[in-house]
Amino acid sequence: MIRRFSQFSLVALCCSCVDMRYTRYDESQYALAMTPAEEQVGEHLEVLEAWSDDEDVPPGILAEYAYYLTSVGRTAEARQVFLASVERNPEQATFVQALMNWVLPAAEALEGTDSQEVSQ
Amino acid sequence: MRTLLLMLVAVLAGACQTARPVADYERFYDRQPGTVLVLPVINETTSAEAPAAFSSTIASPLLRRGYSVLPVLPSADLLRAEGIYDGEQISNESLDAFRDLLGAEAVLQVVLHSWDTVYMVLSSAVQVDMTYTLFDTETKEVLWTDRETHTIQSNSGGGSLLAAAISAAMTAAAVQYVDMARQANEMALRSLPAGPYSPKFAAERTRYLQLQSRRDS
Repeated sequence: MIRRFSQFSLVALCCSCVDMRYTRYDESQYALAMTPAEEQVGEHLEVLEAWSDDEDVPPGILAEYAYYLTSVGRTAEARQVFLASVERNPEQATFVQALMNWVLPAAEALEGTDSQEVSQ
Repeated sequence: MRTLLLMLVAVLAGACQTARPVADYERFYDRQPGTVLVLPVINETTSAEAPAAFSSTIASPLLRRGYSVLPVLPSADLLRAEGIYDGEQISNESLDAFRDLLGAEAVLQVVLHSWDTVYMVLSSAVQVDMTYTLFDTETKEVLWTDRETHTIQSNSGGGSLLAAAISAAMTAAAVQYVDMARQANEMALRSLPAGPYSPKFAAERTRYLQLQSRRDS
């Protein structure tokens, strides 16, 4: 019975951690939407960065993380995260390419990406 | 014995009632939209904060329900930069652009009709009225739509009367838009079927098709 309770507690804890991710994401998005300033971008980046390491990161989070990396000048890192987002969620490839074309200087097409860059 | 008979009659009467109509998801399951673009909220209220709160809290329930949601803020920035969409009427041309430029299989339009604060003695609430419509970007059809009116309670402060009173005032002023919008979005999206990336999608689709065939026969 103690073991069952422990297992139940662990599942409940994991579920609440996932819920917290969504809650923090919603709140930092709202803060950024209301005040699109450097501080709010930084806070939103922290939320996205923490989530990007998750095995079960939802679709779109990596692309969004890359987008805001470009807004703070971390372009090389952004390019890698954009590529990772497409690998993870190929259904968003068109969207990611559109974002890359817009925010990255001379963004290469995903299909013609330099093999050296992909393997790094 | 008499009680048992009455109970039996009640059960049989319930079973003989006309079945509730099944919501029409035929087009939805025919198209199975996976990639969704959430458009900027159309604001018909006087609230400046509510649209941002709705936009900020709609992706999460969609993601949890198995949709691949294009990130809301970056896609809004991109649409604005391209001059494609101003948050109002959807046209066939704009649906084509959403599909061709962004790869969206469907777009979700949210219209916020009202966001009215209701003051009570030690708490406050917000009455929200909104319409959600999911459009297919290729066929231009409406795949799902729902209009919802809800009263969302604020979280009153702690157990003390003074804290509750202050909380009520603060809540009405600005503080809990996000939480209230989140509740409203989650309630509204309950009638949206699970998306193609959800483990529940296949079972829900099968159940729907079975109900449809029973209704048709």
